[in-house]
Amino acid sequence: MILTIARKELTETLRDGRFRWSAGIVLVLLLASLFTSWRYVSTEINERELAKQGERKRWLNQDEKNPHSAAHYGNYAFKPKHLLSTLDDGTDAYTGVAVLLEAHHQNQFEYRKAADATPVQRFGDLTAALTMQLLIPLVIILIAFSAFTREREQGTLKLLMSIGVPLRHFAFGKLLGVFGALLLILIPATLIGSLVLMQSTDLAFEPLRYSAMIGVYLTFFTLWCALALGISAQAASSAVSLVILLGIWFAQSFLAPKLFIDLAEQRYPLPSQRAFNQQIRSDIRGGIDGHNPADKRRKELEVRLLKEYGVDSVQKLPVNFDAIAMQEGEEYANKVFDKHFGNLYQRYDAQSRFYQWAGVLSPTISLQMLSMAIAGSDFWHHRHFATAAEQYRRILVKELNMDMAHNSKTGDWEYKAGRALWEKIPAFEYTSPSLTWAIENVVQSLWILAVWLVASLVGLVVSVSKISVL
Amino acid sequence: MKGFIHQEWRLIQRERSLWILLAVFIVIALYAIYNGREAIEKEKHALAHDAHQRRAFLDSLEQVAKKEEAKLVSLQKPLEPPAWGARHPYFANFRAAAQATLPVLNLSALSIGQSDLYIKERLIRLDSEQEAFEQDESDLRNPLKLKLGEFDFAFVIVYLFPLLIIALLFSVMSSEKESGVLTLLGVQPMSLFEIARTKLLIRAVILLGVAEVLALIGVLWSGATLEANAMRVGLLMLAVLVYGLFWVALVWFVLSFGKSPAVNALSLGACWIALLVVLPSVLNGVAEMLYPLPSRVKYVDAMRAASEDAERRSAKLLEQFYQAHPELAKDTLARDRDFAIKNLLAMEDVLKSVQPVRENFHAQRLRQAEFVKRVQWLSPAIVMQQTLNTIVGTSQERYDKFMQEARAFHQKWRQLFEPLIFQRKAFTNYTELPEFHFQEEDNAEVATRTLVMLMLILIPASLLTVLAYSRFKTYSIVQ
Repeated sequence: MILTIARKELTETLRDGRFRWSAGIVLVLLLASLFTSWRYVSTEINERELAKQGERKRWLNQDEKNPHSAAHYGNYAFKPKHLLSTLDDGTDAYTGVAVLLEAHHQNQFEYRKAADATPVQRFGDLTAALTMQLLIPLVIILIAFSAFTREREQGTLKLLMSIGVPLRHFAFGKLLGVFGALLLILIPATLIGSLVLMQSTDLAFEPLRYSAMIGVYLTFFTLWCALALGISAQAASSAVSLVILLGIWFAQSFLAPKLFIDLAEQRYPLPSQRAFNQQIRSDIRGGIDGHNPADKRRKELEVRLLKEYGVDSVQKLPVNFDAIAMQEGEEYANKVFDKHFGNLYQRYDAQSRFYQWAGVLSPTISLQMLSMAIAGSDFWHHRHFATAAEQYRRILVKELNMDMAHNSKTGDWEYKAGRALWEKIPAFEYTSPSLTWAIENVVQSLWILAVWLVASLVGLVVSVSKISVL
Repeated sequence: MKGFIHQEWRLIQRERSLWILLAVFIVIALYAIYNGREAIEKEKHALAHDAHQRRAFLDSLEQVAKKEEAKLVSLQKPLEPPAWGARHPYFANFRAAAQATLPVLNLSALSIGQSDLYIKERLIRLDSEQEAFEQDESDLRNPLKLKLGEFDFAFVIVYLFPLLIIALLFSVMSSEKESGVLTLLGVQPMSLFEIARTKLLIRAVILLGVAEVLALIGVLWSGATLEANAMRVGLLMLAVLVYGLFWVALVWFVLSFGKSPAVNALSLGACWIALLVVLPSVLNGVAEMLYPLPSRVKYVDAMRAASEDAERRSAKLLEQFYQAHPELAKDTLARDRDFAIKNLLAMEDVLKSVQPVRENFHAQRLRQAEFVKRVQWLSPAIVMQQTLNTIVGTSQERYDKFMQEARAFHQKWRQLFEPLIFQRKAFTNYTELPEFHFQEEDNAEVATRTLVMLMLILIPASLLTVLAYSRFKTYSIVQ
């Protein structure tokens, strides 16, 4: 019975010109966005790899110079781009592509793509994510809004009831039919998508992430089908059903995300860049607790070193006091960075938790978070890289300071190191986090989406069981 | 006719859904105004530039310099060339670095647009031409928030207002037709066209009136003074009116086909999606395809390579400089003073060699923006967003103007300090340092730009009205 109903629903949908048109448009948009994003992402991946190699070469080939000059020359770290961000660019355009790793500062990432974009950027980029999060639910609404109301309006509902079709079969038959129609868009899109992504042989196609991506989107689509059908079963007329569904669609894909990210930001406000920098500076200068200023720390270090080496002036030390003091300064600054960046990240986490809870009202929010996480384009992936780069910066600066400490004397700024030292410092190698790690960050959204799925299916069954034939 | 309007008004009064939707719309709009205002307040706070503090700081530098000079005099050392200290022009330029700030207008709270991505503060000093104008150091913002954009009045007007218009107008006439009331109305001594027009106009007047009142509340709440901004406020209200009229005209056009309410809702919904979601993102995609931006990564790469070359050549550059200026004997005593000259020379060298990459990048970016500008009329929603941004001072044009002025100011700064550095002269006027002041956009120019854009909305609106007019002549009373 379920299959018969599904077949009838599918045939009817396929005969509908509106469906054919909208499905065609969505499919074309999906494929077009796939090609344009893929072209952008694959060039970007290559260019970042080339830039990374170029940076290493420049580092190794730099002239002989004082290690501290080298520490200021520093190293640019280029954030790698995930291949799957072809499908969902997430927040990549808003987080910058490169960061200068140098002595004394934990720098910010530079060059956000969005800052170079056209003034229409905010209306949305042409990406697969936009199509799947906004437009496919609309196609579902189009197929499903009149699934029950039409039966009633045409009088076929009475007939069906009189034959004694079990209502649950009725509900699942419709669901299957609607979903079947949807698959006509999804199957070709998925196949072509995987073919395109696999073209990039050297670019590490991750089948696990890709499957997870397909999984969450299918869940989202199923829940939309169930939701649309459930409302259709209860609506007074096709027009009412359509208006309600469009209202829900708008509220949860436009209003809810904007509203809740705003509320999150208001609830857990971030400091301004200037205030943040000022705090860091004053903590480094005056001590984290405000009682341990930099010159006092330096004096203490001097006393300690003199005692350790049993000499009476820094000039007589067998090591370069300036370099050791600089390294001590670095270590202290690192503590300050950890404190402030730690606080900042906690704020971001609190905002994100708050925002993810809003998924209870809008599954689009949950989907958005999961999709970005799987695509490797969310803020956590950015932070993962930023943290790794910062660790490397600390190693880099320490190596350089220590070389200066042991190979030159206090006050000797003419000391020069060469290629041997540059080579001693390993290149910055970054390993991207695993899928499990990515999901763990947004596990809240995963649960909420799962609850939505169950609730919408139950809702559908209940709604159909209470359907009125009049 | 009068009786008809009166009856219609009574009908509207009883339409519960209309008032509920209207109330929801008003609440959302008020929240959006409040929210935009908060965002702008925060931004103003972050940008707060204290002129007094600046003055005091410059005075304190002058004092330091005087003290240093007194010390040199007491030690019987020469004042010129200046030693590395407060009189050294390179040092002075560094410590007293100026700030170019783009002021935030109160009205901006209504339409933040993409201005939250702009860097509104640029540090002006010698070594930072690249840093000041190329670097994009964002404020601390949740990137997801930046992606989703601000919940401001413009969002409510551009996205939500059309939906409200559609929701409240799509069933005019068609529901009467479905219920058979239209046949009864047909025997009235009024043409069907007049009936339709009156019904639609009464509702449209209510909706547009509400939107205009909200716009006015927005202006007042944002703290902008009406007198000083009379022209901008006028333009704002005009823009809301024109945009509203476009959507009313579209509904009018769809209604003229005489289809059922469900079909009307579907077609109007499709139009909304096409104009607000599909078209803009397709335009973005096409712009990206036709004029792909060179990667910024490539730019960083080129810059690094250039600065490495310059550093390598710097000794030679200095040598060349002294050959070209034999009157300035080589300053073997103070490494620091040569350091400043060397730095400047290297900086110019880097700038020269990254120039092609930079120009290429900006030219392509300009082409992309030009393209979007040329085709934006396809969607009145895009035009409306740009119009609102122009009116409240968050447009790309205003930002570009700021960048241009900041660049000019940077040139002025260079002309002030570079000769002193090259000629090894002391810097003596901390108290007379130039300050950057943004020259606000000309009112007439803002008005012209706005009116041109509004024409782009008005033309399709009138076209739709005319088409609908002719269709209503053959409107059928029965299904």
